[in-house]
Amino acid sequence: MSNEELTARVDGVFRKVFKNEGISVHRETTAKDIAGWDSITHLDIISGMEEEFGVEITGFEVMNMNDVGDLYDLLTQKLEA
Amino acid sequence: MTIQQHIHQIVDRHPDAIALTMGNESWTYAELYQKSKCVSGLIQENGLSQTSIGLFTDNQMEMYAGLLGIWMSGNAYVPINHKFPQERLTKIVRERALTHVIGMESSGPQMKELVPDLSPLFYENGVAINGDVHESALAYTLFTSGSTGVPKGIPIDHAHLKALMLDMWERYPLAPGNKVLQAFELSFDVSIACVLLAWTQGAELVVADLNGITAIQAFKAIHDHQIDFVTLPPSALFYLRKLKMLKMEQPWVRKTLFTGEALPYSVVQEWKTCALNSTIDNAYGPTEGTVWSLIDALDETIEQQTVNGLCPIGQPLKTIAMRIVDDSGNEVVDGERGELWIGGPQIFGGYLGQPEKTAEVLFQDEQGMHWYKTGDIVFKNAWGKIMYVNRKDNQVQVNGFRVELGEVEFHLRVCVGHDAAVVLAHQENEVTVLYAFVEGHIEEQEVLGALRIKVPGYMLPRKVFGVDVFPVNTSGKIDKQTLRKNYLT
Repeated sequence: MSNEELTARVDGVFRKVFKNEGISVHRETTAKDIAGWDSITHLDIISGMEEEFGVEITGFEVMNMNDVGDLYDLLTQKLEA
Repeated sequence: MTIQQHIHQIVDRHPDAIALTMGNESWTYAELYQKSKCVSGLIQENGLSQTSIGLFTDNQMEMYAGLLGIWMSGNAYVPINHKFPQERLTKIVRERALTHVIGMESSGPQMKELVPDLSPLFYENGVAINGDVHESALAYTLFTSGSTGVPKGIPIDHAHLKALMLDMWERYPLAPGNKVLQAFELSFDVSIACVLLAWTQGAELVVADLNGITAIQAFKAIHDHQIDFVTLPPSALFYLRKLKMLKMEQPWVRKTLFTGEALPYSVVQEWKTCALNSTIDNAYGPTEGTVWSLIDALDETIEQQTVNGLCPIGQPLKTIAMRIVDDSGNEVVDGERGELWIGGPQIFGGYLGQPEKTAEVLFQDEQGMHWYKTGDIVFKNAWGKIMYVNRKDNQVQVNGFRVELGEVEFHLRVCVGHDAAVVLAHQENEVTVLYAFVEGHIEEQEVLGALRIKVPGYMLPRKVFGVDVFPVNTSGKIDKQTLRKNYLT
């Protein structure tokens, strides 16, 4: 999967979760950058990613995800495995 | 001895012990004290004495030196939470008549934006000067949700804190080498209990990164720093379970204190599979009674004691007196339901600038003891433990925060421009979620956007429903039960 396709599909999950078609995330985006990104929406983001990409994200992986860049890297690694 | 003198004694005895850790950075007690002295100096140089000072809480290490430095200078702190909307902070500034706020120079632009009327004092400019504090001095003022749209200020003195700590030291003895988790915003009073549990006993306070997702960051801190004394709201476990994090065992946790919300027994069971070696306590208390008033050390009989799956809140702290009363103020017999009243040296002296509200909930008995009417309905079970049943009023706990539904409704009505607006709290799994209902057609995102600039995130409804015509009951009032049935089940 190309980087462009990955980032577009990640954006799609964020847009669906936040019901906002204008959202576009980048590597440095964190929870404090998006209004309403709280514990509940975080659950929706993780399960949305699992559904969109057909992967499972473990608790350890969630714990060590500091920004969207870490999410891109994790998804890329899982899709290549 | 004052709380501050206790901390001073710890600094003298254990200057090289770790006092504070955030991420990869740590300060010893000597370093913490030196930085606090600089804050104290900064305040004294600006001529501030026996007053309240804003503490900009954007979760940097320096704000903990700020807290201690404000006390050293003989002043009290008021948390200025950077996650709160400007409008709410303006009300807090006005209610407490603040003039100055302490923060990092790098936070200057955000401080100017959120509290433009306050003069900033930057940590970087402080020069060490010693200070002292008397027990009667004000320690902090916290603001909780108020049904009229104005937050209620709750001033707490050092003497109140000292009374709390007399129980805490006996119940939770700690020493250098112990690590205490701090995963609460400074605007929530459990934070100060965590700070004092650590710093009055020489333990290490490990602060979770509260700028991230709190439940995850708290767990990460427990995991990465092998914390042994953990305080969490029960709802944190809901998120940790969903994120599959509870599969990672945390054998170093020795004590877990659940607080801020009713504690389901299922949470206790689940946490025991993760924190295998931890004993578990359930702590209850309104801010008016200085953090905690009742605590239950859960034992092997706990499963038999649950009511509707919830654990008891236990028995009063050693400095708390308790009555369970009927509507006439007469004590009920054991097992009967009644309102919980708490009394003693932990009880606050009244709401800031709200004598009528104070008179409704606070009174002095013939011996001069202050009593606070909590508004919580409870009963004493067969084991002599207190069971929480529900609230008398329209107040709920959301992620540990106290929320007056009336306050959210007040702002919602202003946002939509008419009175037909209702907010309901709904239990989803073990989490309390708010839902808003407005009569007529609405643009949900617009309403939520307008609300977001008036109330903190935890008071924001999960969804706003537009309802053609509100159902009404026989008294002509909005039928909340039907709304709940039609939309939330």
